[in-house]
This record gives sequence, C-alpha cells and structure tokens, in this order.
Amino acid sequence: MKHYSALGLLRNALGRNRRWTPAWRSAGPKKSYDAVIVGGGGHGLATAYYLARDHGLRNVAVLEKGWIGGGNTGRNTCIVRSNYLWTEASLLYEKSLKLWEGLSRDLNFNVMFSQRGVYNLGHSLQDLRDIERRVNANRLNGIDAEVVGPAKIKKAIPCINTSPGARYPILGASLQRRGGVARHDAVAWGFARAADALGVDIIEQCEVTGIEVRAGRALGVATTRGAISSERIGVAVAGNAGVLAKMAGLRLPVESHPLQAFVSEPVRPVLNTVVMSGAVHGYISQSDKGELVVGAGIDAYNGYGQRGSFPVIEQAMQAVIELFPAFSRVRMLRLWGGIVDICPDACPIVSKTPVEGLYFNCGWGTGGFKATPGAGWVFAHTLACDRPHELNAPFSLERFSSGALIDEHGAAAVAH
Amino acid sequence: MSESAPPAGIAIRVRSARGFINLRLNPRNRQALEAAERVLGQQAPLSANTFTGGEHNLYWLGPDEWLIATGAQRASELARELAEALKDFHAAVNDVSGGNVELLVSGANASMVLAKGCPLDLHPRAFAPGQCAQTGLGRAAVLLAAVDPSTYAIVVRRSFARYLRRWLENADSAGVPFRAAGKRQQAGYRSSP
Amino acid sequence: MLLIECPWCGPRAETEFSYGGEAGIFRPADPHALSDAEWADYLFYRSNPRGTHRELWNHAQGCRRWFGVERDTVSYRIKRTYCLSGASGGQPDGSAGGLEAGSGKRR
Repeated sequence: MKHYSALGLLRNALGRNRRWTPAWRSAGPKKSYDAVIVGGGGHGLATAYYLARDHGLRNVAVLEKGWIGGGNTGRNTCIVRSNYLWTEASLLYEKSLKLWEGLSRDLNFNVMFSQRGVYNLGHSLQDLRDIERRVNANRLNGIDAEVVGPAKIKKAIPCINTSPGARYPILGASLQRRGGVARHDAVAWGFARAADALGVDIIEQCEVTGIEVRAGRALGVATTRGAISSERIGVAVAGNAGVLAKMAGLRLPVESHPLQAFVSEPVRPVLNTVVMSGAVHGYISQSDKGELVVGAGIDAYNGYGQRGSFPVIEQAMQAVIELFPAFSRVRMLRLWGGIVDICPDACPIVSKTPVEGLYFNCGWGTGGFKATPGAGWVFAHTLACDRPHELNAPFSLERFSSGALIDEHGAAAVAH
Repeated sequence: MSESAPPAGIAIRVRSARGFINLRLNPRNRQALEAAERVLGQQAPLSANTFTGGEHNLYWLGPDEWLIATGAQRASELARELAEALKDFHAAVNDVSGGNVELLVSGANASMVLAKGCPLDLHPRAFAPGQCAQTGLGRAAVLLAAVDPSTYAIVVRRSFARYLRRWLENADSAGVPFRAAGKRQQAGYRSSP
Repeated sequence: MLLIECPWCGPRAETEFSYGGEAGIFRPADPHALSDAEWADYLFYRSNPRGTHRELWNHAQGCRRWFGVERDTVSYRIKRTYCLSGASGGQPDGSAGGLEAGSGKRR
C-alpha cells in the first residue's frame, strides 16, 4: 500500500495525477479462506481489517454482491454518537466512537470524521426527563453528555426555531460534543484499502447464494462466482440478514424496513452541528459540500426495495421545516432508501449462532453507521476467538429467549 | 414573481345545532337492525361508504358502524330511544354530539379545493352524491360526504374544526393554484399567470 | 406511496392505513406450557421474507377494519387484500364471516 501523505499529494499533483495506483486490488475468489465475511459494507470491511490487524488472520475474503459501500453504508445520514441509555449499548457505541477518533490515522485515509456535536431535542416535559436521565447515565459511563436549554441551543444554532409558539416547542436538548458526522464512502474505501494492504481479498460482484452447513457446522458458501470453503463465516449484510440466515436454516428476530434520507441543493454554511428530534421524526446536518442532509423515520411496513413511501418523506420535511422554518425554500436534490434490519429491542445482534463457525452481525436498525468501526472490532474478536468480546457478549442471539433485552428505543432517535 | 390564484369562491359554513350518535350493531342480526331502523324511521345504509338522508343523515362508517347526524335538540333523546330499543342486542349507542362539528363546503370548485388536501378521487364519477368516506383532509381525519355535485358535508373532530376551516380558507384563497378543468372552469378564472 | 385496496372501501392512499405486521401470529393458548425458546419465537421471530408477505393492515382513517394483505416486499406490489374470517358485519360481498347467521345484504 502506498502511504498517503501531504508530500505524496504534492508529488502526484506535479505528476498530473497520473501515478496514483488503485486503493485496493480487484481480487478474484480463491477456493478457500480462513475466514469469509459476507457483506462488503463498512461493517464487513471493518471486520476484515481488524481480523487481519489484531488477530493475525490475513487469509480473509470479503464477499460483496454489488460494489463495496453500496448498501446501507452509502445510504445513511453519517451521524456518529454514543449517547445511548443502557450501559451495554453505550459501551459498545463508545468503543466505536473512540475508534472513530483515531480512524483516519489508523487507516491512513481521511474519513472526514468531524466532531461537530449532536443535539437530541426534547419537546415535552417527558422528553426532558428522558434526556436528563440519559445524560446522567452517559456521564456515569464516562461518556461526554450535557443538557442544554433553549437559549444555549439558539446561540449555537441561530437558524433553529426555539419560539414557544412552535407546534413542538424546543424545551431543551442533550448535547454530545464528541459526536458528529463522517464521510460514508470514505469509511468503506478507507477500510477496504487498509484491509487490502494486510492481504484481505475484497471480492465485488460476488453474491452469496447458499451457506453449506453439515452436522451443525458451517463449511463454506456458494456464490455466483463459485463455491468458497471456510470454517469461519461472518455475515454483516444489514437488511438482508434474514435472507442469509435462512440459507443456513436459521431464523433471526429481525424485520427489514425501508429507511429514507435525502439531500438538498448545496447552500452556504448554515448549520455546523447535527440536530436530531425523535419527537418530530427528523434529523439534519450540513455536509462539507453544503448540502443539507435530512433523515426520515422508517417506513412502517416490511420492505427490501431500497425505497420507501413519499408520505414518510413529507413527514420528515415537515419536521425539519418545523425546526428550521428558513429551510422551507430549500430544494431537495437526491433521495435514497436503505434496508434496515430492526430488532425488537432496537439493539443489534453481534453473536455466535447455533451453527458452529457461523456468526451474525445484524439488527443495527437505524444506528449501524455510527457503529462501523466498533462493530467490526468486536465482530472480528468474536470470529477469531469463537466467543464474543465482553463488549458484545450482551448482544447475543440468546437474549431473546433469556429475556435480557436491552431496550434502546428511547435513544435510537428514529422510531423503530 | 407569480401572483396567487384568485379565490375559487367556495363557501364554508358550520352547520350549527347538529347532534351526532355513533351506532354499532351487526346488520346480520336482522332483528337488531330492524329495531334500530324502527326508531330512526329510515333504513340504515348497508352499502359501504354511502349515506341516506331523511329526518336524520345516516352515514356508513364500517360494516357494523354508522354515524347518525341529526338536530342537536333531538340527539340525546334519539340516543336514549335507540339504546332502549337495542338493550337486548349486542349493540352500542353513543351520543358523540360534543365531539364533532359539521362543515358544509359548497361552490362549483369545491371538489378541487378539497382535492388539494384529500387523497380521494373526488371526481363525480368516483364520488357521487350519496357517497361518503372517512379519509384525511389537510391532515385531519374527517368524514366527507357528497351532498350534491357542488356541496360537501365534512364531519370533523371539534378540536380540529377551527384548524380545518382555516385550512379550507387557505386552500381556497392562496397557495398552490389548481388547474380548473374543462366545464368546471368559471368565467374570468385564471388557473395560473 | 402504496395504493391499498380496502376490502370495504376500495383503493385508498397509504396514509389512511396503519400497518399491523405479519399476519397469522396467534397468541399461544397456554403460554405457560411453552419453553423459553417457543415463547421467544411467538414474541420476536417473524418470517420477514424477501418476496410475498402476508400482513395485516388497518384502515385507520377510514372504516377502521383490520384486513389481510399479500404484498411483495421487494416490488411492494400488492397481490391481493382480503377480509379476515369472523369479521363483524360479514364480508363486503355479503358472504359468510359474520358473527351471526344470515346475509349482510338487505332482503
């Protein structure tokens, strides 16, 4: 891997940018690997990277049915935060946030992680009580969090409507200053490049069509580019987790729903932080290009279509205009939908399964992007050691029958 | 800059002194149905999304549910009579007068003003006089009934009534101009500059 | 936007409906007789198919009836909608399904 540096940038600029080499190889599948990761999104690529870097497993393939980062990794609103309520969830998301903080350096690739703060608005007395409870819980877990009132919110975000006459008046917010946004594509590219440099094969246009299980053990996968044998198979396919589980004769407690987001035309800088409101169902930030990035709630019905319904978009727009009346004249440019796999308790599953050698990382619902490095890190540990790391041990598949659910509906921001 | 379209000229008025009764019974129980109809003095509509007029208006709300709209003075008495007649049946009678308001919207362009905020096809071919529907109008849940080709009755929750009236006035006078089609176009009406 | 055919009211906009999840999930007659895994299966596990899905919808802003829908979860195309058996008032066509005997149609 060519090391990226300011000097290299200068040298290539002087050389008219003709000497850049591909950031990762276009690998073809081998007959067998020590570990196979199904799904070339952020989570899958991060898993492969940490497997190679921390666990010495370098004979690893990442299988992607389309192009890397083309699923939910490229279809979200890039928000990163760790202010969840319960200890189990906060620690997992906080591990991820800590990795984000050093990720550009780790990967030698600018993932454009920008800690511009995340505001979660409260619009009712109960919202404020929940915010205070969550902020206290975060602080007890060593996670930065503060409660801010309308005056402070208005000072930090001048274009927000904090008037008491609003339909949903803003009474306060939780603020996590270390939260922010990252560049979604760069995350996939950065992990792909770094994993590739450690010997990982990234195989695009390779769809898994079957999982070979014999006597309770996973032995390999059938793909559109031939069979690949491996005794360690990690699945990180978000909305399609249920489909993959079925191939191995398993069921998962997840349901797939469309989740939509959209961006506006670029406008001058107006919003230098992230604003989320679970009550009016919308969240918004401004990208470095100037586009307003707006996220909607999920569509209520099950769907694998990577698109949702217009009423949900309308609802999200109403929420945003409610918060930012000035944005009512902004025109929307692009719209996209991802398929999110939703767990009954709004927490993920990063777990072994009843099939030996088969592991699932799924159920992240609407919160998967922020967890990309952390999820990869704990999933790599789970694959390499055949047991979960203490951070993801609570997120097992067994919790649905043991009853040890971790209910994060309150902090998940979007109605699950 | 575009001018706002001239008002389509619909008339909106509150039908005052109205009383409402919600009636539930299974029409497959012939005796119960007939007992109710005897009190009402008219037949309850059994076809979905239709209403019948007479002394009262009877709106179909569901296969076992009707809304009876009548004079405010008459409602509580009628509710008592219905409850008495149906006391031996699996049925429910509720006086919901306090919770509802009836608006009348009339004018040649009434359907087009309503269409700005209603997902129904309001063309007379699809929604003819005598038909009613529970639907959404300007985000409020309403019961909409076609009274005659240019008059609609809207029954809405009382707490939404003021909002809905303002929404209708706004839809009539400003905002996105609608395109008047064919015969419905009035003399002097401009669809858009 | 889905256009959903309510068995009673005909095709109506998606905004008039609320979604009720997978159809055919029945509360077990005797929950105490179940193992933890069986109870979890009833509570949390759904078929979540990529393809035809049998689901429940409620015409919330209309006639407020629950009914069944068969819908493709990839194309979102609705294959058919149907009344649930035992619906009060019988079926829209007047056939069986009511709580009491007799036709829903008048005489």
